[in-house]
Amino acid sequence: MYSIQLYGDRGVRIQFGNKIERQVNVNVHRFTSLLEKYPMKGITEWIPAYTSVTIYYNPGEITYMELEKKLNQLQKIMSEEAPPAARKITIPVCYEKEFAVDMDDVAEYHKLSSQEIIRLHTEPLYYVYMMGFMPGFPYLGGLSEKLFTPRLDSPRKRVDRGSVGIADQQTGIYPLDSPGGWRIIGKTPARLYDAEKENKILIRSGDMLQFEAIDSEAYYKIEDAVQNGEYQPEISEEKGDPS
Amino acid sequence: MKKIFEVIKPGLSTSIQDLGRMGYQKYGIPTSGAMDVFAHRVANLLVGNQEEEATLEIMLMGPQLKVLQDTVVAIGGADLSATIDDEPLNSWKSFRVYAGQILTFGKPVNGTYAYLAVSGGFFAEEVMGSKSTYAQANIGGLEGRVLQKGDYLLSADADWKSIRAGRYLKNTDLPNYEHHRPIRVITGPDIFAFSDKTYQQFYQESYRITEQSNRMGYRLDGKALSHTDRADIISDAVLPGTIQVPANGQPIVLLSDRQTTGGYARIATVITTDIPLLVQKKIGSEIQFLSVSLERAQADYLQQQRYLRMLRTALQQHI
Repeated sequence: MYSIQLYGDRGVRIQFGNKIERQVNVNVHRFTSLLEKYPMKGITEWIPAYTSVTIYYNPGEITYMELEKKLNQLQKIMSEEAPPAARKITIPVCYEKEFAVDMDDVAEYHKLSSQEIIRLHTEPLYYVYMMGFMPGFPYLGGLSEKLFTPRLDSPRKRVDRGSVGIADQQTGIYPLDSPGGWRIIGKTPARLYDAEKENKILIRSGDMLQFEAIDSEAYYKIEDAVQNGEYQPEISEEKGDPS
Repeated sequence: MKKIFEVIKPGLSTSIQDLGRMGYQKYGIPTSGAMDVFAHRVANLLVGNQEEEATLEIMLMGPQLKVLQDTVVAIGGADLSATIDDEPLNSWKSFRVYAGQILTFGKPVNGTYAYLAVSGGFFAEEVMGSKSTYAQANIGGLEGRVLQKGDYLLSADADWKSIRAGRYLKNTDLPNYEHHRPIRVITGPDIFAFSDKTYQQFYQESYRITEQSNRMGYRLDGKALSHTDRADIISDAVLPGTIQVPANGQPIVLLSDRQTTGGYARIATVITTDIPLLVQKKIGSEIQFLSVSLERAQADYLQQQRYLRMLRTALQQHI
């Protein structure tokens, strides 16, 4: 599927499907890599999402008609574009009690041991469909059905930066302190958003994530290294179709 | 670089803003930036700055500032009864101010957001290409937050003496914040999430701007809008002026500090030139929406851009 529609007086929305599916999302990323490869005057930026990419443009530099024509041309060569190389990022997570306020409740809900929950949570290679919600927050696909857990009835006023949680069919990491209703089962010392760094955002849409269980000793060690600016999570480039 | 103001009283929510943080929404970083971009640009032009320089955005209850260096300032946007040593300071006009004077904002008269521009622009570290404050994530501006008592505001050394004070906008060019004309929108993008009947209702009813309105968005209250199926959509990009309708049927207009993506059906998007008119409306105001074509919206946008270019040229000749 490929459809193009206007969105306000400065937006164009290009849609590649109607469902949350890896193949649809890979096309979103194919298209955004073309936008990077062939910069167009008048395009200010773009926002990729699950099924679409929205382009924000300046009508003083390019008309909607011209833009639509150029985007259609890009779409024609899209199938020749290799899917962008996927990066695999390993995120260390401590699932011990002091970092996992909701672990007992989640274990109780699923009638599973916390060991079993950790195994189910660290097993999959998660796919980053899109970024949003807050700076550096990845929308991940791949959570085991066995871990689907409803949100808290009433959100907490503050969830710490780095907290790893589950909300319904999703798992995610809080990049910043924030209010939130996710069930917290662990915490990473790694920073998803780091104001001190040149590249402030760790994760990009299209990346693959793997959670790695660490003990609290390792947690504090990494936390120290992060504070000294000496820590970088393990990132490997993997060629080929991430699906 | 020099200290230009000392903050005696910070005001309700005063922050450094520019035209916003562009290019990082793909990583989930909101653009932030001035709520009323037009007033921000004009205030800058009046003091001889580039339009993208940082200004001080002042919401309703403004600050009290002590002038530390002679310079030229201008206020655009809302009339918040600004005075300098108790003498009224008109909006949309540049003034010379002198070290030791006290700049005070008082009772809001009309509009919600005022922009104080200073010759040379307010200084702040650029974070991801912008000086705009995004307080939720402590990004930009002065330590990523709104002003506090005791803060010092810095400015680049500008050749302010070459800027003639007394530059002003013609009366006929002043925006009218008390207007009753509808806020214009472009329908969609989620047109299939709403029936024709719901759209009819959306364009006929009025909506009140509620107290839960801020830089993220204006929450409206009116006759609830129904969805053909459900309120939730697959999370997707939102833009300045996008109007979301969550399950309770009460629309939310997304503004400068909006998240980059949202999960509620989007009934329409406010056109660029009408966003300033909307944000200047006071809490409790009733507004109506009118659907216009892309051609109409862009023609108005281009005309506003031409106006700003003309104004820049005219003011330059006025030196």
